[in-house]
Amino acid sequence: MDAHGSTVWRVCVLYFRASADAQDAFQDTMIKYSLADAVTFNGEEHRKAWLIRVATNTCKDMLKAASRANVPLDEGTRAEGLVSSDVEAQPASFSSEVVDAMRGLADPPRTPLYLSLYEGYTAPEIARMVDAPVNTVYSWIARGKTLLKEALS
Amino acid sequence: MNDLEQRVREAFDEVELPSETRARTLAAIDALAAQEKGAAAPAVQETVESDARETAEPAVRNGAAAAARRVPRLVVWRRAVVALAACLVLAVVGLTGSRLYFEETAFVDIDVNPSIELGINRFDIVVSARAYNGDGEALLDAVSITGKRYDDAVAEITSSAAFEPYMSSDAFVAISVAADDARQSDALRAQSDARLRDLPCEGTCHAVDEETHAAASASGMGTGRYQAALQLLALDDTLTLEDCARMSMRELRDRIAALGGDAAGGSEGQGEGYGEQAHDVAGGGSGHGQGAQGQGRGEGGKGHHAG
Repeated sequence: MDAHGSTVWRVCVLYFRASADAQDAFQDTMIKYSLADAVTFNGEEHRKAWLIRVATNTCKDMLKAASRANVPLDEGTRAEGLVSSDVEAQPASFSSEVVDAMRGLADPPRTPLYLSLYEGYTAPEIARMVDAPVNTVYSWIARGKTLLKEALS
Repeated sequence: MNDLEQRVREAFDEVELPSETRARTLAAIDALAAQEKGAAAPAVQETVESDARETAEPAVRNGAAAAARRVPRLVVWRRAVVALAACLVLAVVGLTGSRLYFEETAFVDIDVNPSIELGINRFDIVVSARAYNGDGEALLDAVSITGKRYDDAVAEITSSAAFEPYMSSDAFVAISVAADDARQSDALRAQSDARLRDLPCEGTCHAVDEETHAAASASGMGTGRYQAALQLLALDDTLTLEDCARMSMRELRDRIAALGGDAAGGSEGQGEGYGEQAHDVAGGGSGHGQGAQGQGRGEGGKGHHAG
């Protein structure tokens, strides 16, 4: 956790503005890592890539579960539901102009752009990590840069 | 490094794992390890839903709790081992069963002119059939006996068209039973005797030991024919085992009788060794100057009922 804890945390922050959600995603990822006895890592880079991939998948799963759970609200619980799901009202996992702008992008291109700009992965490496064609990754990164520039300008 | 990349790097460099999150996660992993060792089950869940989470969005928190409740890998592994063990047991039972079924525990040789050998399993079912000569091959081609009970198999053989030419009253049928289990040997011989009684020709059924059966098999003959051949060779040294293999049982017995031998002696002696089965060969008078053929015919062509 000392070596890659912050790497995983950054992915969680990239997905969740609410600190509690980011913490849940982080904890889930680390529990999965602790249970992954069968995975043999070929060095630290492999371990880091594995953790990033598991973290992104965990975050996506949580978002899916949350969207499913939020849909069927009737009149009686809607007000309450809105209060509890009001992301702005909760403590932030991390807030800065650039991080908020990144988080505001759709996914993709959010994750491929982050992996390219911050983690320094090449497009072929990202393509392997997110199971997508290399050319698609290139176009995601290009589109993501354009969108991010627009958001920051 | 362009400006955008620089800004993203600087922004995310500031994102560090909060020590509180780190400590809570380590506690959750420890609790999970303790749970796997048999500690109280809800430990992880309590950690996940700790008091600091009041503000968390409920649906997302439930997702995390569900992840923590997920069946630990150790349990999954144990289940896989149990399933694998069950499969192994089934495979062993299946293999043992098939081995028991297909293992030949007795051999029955039938020699007339056709010479065949039937392999019988412990359930008295014919599991193999081989021919020692061309007539035997023709006979086995004409019937389908593997998988049938021995009694039914013999009935099918003796009632088949291919066997009909050998059913004349002067033919001689020798049935030899080689079995390790005396009870099975007796049962097979009793069934063989019952069938022989229904035949118009003369016949004998006797038990043989495994060594004789193996020696006969190695010579490419049914045991009944092999024993008769040995007897004839002792009386006539101009003949060879191959010559004998080409003769019918009737011819072998006639020659033995003509040379003054006891055509029934070999089989009768063996039969007595196993009990009452020697009644068949008209052997009562054998060795008294009359061949078995003469005896058998003298008793109306059903010499094997003499007893």
